[in-house]
Amino acid sequence: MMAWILLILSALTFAKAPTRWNATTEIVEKHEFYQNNEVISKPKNSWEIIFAFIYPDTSLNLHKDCVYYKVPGDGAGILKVKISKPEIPCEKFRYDPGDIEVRDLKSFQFTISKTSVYFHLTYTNFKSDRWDMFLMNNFTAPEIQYSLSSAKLQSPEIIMVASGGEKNEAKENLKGICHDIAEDCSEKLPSVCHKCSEGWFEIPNGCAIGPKFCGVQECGGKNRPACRRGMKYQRNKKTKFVCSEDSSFAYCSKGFSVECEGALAYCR
Amino acid sequence: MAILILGIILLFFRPRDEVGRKKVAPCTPEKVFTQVIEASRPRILEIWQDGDKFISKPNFNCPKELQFSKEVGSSYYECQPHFWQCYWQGGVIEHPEIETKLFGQTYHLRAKPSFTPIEEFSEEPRYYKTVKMPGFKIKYGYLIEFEVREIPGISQHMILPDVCRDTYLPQRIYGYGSGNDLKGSEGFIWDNFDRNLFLDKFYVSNQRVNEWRLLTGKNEKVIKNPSQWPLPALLNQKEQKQYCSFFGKRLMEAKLFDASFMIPGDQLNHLPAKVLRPQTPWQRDIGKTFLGMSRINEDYQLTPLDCQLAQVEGCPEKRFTTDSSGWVGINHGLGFYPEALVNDIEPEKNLKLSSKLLPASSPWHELGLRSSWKGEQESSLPVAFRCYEEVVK
Repeated sequence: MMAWILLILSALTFAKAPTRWNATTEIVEKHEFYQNNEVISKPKNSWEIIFAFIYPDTSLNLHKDCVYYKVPGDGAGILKVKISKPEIPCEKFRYDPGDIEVRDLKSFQFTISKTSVYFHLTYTNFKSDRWDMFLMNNFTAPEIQYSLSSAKLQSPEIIMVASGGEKNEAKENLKGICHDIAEDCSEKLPSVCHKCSEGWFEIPNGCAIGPKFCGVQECGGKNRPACRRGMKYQRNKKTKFVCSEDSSFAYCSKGFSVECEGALAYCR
Repeated sequence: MAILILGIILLFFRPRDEVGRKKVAPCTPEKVFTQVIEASRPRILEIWQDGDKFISKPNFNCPKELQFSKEVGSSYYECQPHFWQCYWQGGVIEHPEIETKLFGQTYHLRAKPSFTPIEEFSEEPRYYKTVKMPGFKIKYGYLIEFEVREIPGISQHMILPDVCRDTYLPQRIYGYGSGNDLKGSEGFIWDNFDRNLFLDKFYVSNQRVNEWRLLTGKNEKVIKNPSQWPLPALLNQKEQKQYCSFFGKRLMEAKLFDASFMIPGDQLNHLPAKVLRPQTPWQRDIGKTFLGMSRINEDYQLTPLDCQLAQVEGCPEKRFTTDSSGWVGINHGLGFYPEALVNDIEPEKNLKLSSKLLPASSPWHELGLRSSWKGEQESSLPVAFRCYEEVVK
């Protein structure tokens, strides 16, 4: 709680680019129309969500700073930042007071690139200001190749974190399905299996990518999911297997055989 | 006059020397600090990922963190938090700092001892804190903090991920089990296309299990003697699985073990017509190796090279060496310790028995052969383990 108050107080005291944005891991909720360098002038008098920065603190709690802009019209423009949580949409605070507010703006422009974010602020008195944020956690997953480690595939080699956050907040403990794949092999929802606290398991369904569930479940035993064997070792160029017709994409431990429940393969 | 005016105009449009221009220092200390951190990034990574480069001989002095031993290979010092602690508390060089020249000034970056001591190791404040990272794609890392001597009052926390632990298993067709009794059949084959599998390069060590114990609050089970830390952790099977799943991983599987040590005939052809079952990680036919020779010659004398490839009975102890590396870069395919495996094809065959406990002439020293383990450690049969991770992209 104390850390929160300090964070908000520091934000209120200095109306300049918060250094915590250097630890941004993701930029989300980006306005669908506004382009880099565009002077935002429409719709007049409205509060617009520009985008939000997601960044971790030293307790690895994730925070979200929503950036809003009140487009000048009857009055001057206002840039507003609201400190929030990743799971809360910025919409919720659209009309609330900000934790940072920069008033008397004549115009506002932003530029987002892979490595940096710039704000260009022009005030009604014609003075101007520029906020530079260097996105030190920018990351492009490397090509998969021999000797690549799992950490290098998934993360920058150094992850910057923002100061503050003495206390671990309760983290979401994902349960149940974490990668939803339909019977026709289409992806219903992208994988969130990295959020499973103890890993995940897959139930093979004859698709190149099968549905996955959080938890520990060994495959192959009685009444357990079948194990994934692959779809290319058969060398028949099939891209989908119908379980009831050809279950060679899965296998069971010695003594058990594959049985299909719909598209899913189990061992009985 | 006209020539003079033309000359002035041409001078105005002359090409500027980009290199010659001096970069202007950022105007705020925060921005300079950020630039110093960025400029020091390669050196930070070198100290973290290549600790072995700093240790040629017993030139370090932190007996509570590291104890030099010829038995411990250089890989132990890579992404090693105890080396990080040793380095920054002055056990490797007297005044550890990363010197960076920027904007005509020299800056000195140094790690801060910001974290509470781990009583099980020493009374010294720590230069790192092991953290579990729920919600992140990586499951754990090491929290550190840096300051710049010339810019007081500002510091930066960061996480160093463990990028040294595992390695990728290429997507292709693989075989499971020994080829000795196939009699022309293909045996059990499978493929890992569309799967990203990463295998631990070494056995899980006591040092790693100590970190797990501390993260799960079982401090009383921490092994305090640093000389024991590089040794393989001897957990029972239930704890082995708990350890791996805590980090989002799984206990190593028999078919993955075979895949990572049975070198394919043609590495470029991922869909070969025939899947080979080599008998050792280095030679398809065991008869041509020291293991084969030992089987037919009782008087065979082990050479140092033999012991590097497979530590069998009579070999000196060594750990974290890469001399026994298989074709994908994981180690200890034959010899060394008995290793626990999950086998979902033949569940009772869950132990790689080839180890330092058996003489070179033992028929168990062959890829694809496995024995059975009940899951409890015994002094006569110390069983090591490792994990693997499947990453969904």
